[in-house]
Amino acid sequence: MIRSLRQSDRQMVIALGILLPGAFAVGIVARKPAPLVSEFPAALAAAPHLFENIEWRRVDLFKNSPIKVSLLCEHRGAGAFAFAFSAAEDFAQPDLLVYWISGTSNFTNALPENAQLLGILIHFPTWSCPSKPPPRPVCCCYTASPTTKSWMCPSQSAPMLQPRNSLGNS
Amino acid sequence: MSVTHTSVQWNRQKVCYDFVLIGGVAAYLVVFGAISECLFPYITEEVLLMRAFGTAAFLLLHIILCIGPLCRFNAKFLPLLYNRRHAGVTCFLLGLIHAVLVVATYHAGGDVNPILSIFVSSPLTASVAGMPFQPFGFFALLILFLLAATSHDFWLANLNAPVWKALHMSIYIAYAFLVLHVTFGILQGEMNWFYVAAAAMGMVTVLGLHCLAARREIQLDLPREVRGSDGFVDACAVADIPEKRARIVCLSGERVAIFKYGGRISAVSNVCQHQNGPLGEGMIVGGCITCPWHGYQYLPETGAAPPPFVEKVPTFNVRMNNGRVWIHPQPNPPGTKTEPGLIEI
Repeated sequence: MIRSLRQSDRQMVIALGILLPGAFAVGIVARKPAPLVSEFPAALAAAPHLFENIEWRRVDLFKNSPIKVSLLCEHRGAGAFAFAFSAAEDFAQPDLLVYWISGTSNFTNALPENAQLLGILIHFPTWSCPSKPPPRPVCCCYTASPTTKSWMCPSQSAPMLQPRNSLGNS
Repeated sequence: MSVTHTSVQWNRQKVCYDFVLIGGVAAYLVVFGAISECLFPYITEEVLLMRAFGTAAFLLLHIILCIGPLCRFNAKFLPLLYNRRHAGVTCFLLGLIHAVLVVATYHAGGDVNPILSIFVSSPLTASVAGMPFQPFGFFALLILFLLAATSHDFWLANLNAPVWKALHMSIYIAYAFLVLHVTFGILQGEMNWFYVAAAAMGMVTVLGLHCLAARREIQLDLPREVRGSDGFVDACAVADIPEKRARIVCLSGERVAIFKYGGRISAVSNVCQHQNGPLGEGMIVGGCITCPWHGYQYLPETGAAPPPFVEKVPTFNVRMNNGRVWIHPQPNPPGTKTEPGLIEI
């Protein structure tokens, strides 16, 4: 009555016993180790700065988004610069990435080649500007959602907002 | 068994089973959360919950898959098998919570359909390590849903037991998908060898137990060839059968359970009508053959369940000769009364 079922059961078990450990071993051997901190570029391993001064704080840089942005510097109008991000606790946006772009670029459907990833916008950290701000640097938040992306230019005097649609639609 | 329909026939054993099952799962989640908070203080709530429910489902599936072969080796594990389907449904629900958390966190924020995003967010690359792992989890969950949805006796009765069993053998495919999901997912990011060792140990345990059980089953399926002129086959010696228990032999490709009880010998099909459980691994209780899986009962002379129940299994003609049991390999129709063989003293 169920002899064929028992045979099928045995055949499946034998097939799994051969194939599954093989696939598991291939997956483990193919693993790529995570890079060590010592392997990072020097710019990323630099000693952290202490930013004492708030150059400006804006709540309207990102269109349709409650993200607040502050431009910090080590000393008033001098020293290294950094961005600080904050928002209400209930603000949730998956995979929101922050890029730094030196100089203005003609934006298309993809990020410019010189876009430099600062990090993921989670727990609202502070990021140092990777280099001395050029005349018109751009910091961009990138996400798959079309509601939060826009561009901003953090000059030392007055930030200029360049409102755009989503990166995918621009 | 029942003569009237009741959606779930609760009894003390089932309540205890579910209490232990739910308590065990809850304890696991709490312990996992506590250890994770200690070892990874910066872990987010979403990731913590994803990992807790995902690992709980994966671990429970390992336990479920081990129950069957363990019962083959030792009857003490039979209580675990009694309500295994509830464990299966729990496994699906844990996996579903894991999947909902993953989709809500990683796939619901974009402008692509979240389900479609599971398949397109990680395109195929030339790298083995970059193999998309989430589709494996999706298909495994789909199979677990199918099995959970058809786990009720309603489907068992309407599909019939062999079809139902064939359907539920797809649990092996779900398990294979989940191993691939874990191998090409979390194990690619977590470089600690503890996780690799744990996953490998689970896989070796499941596959090892099933291979050992299959090897043992092959021995049981070896046919008896000593056939008399009247067509009867020398099955075994009377002394080989314990009192109120059975010896299982393979005749004409199917297994027959030969029971000894009160100086008599009767033979019935080894296949219970409920879930095709092994009647020969049960015993005589209250004059009835009792299936070890769920307690379905049959009279040894007729193969029929005692009234008012209606289940019937085929019987076999028995002859005794010089302390040996001879069985005719041609089964009688289910429920046919046969004369039991009388043990010569």
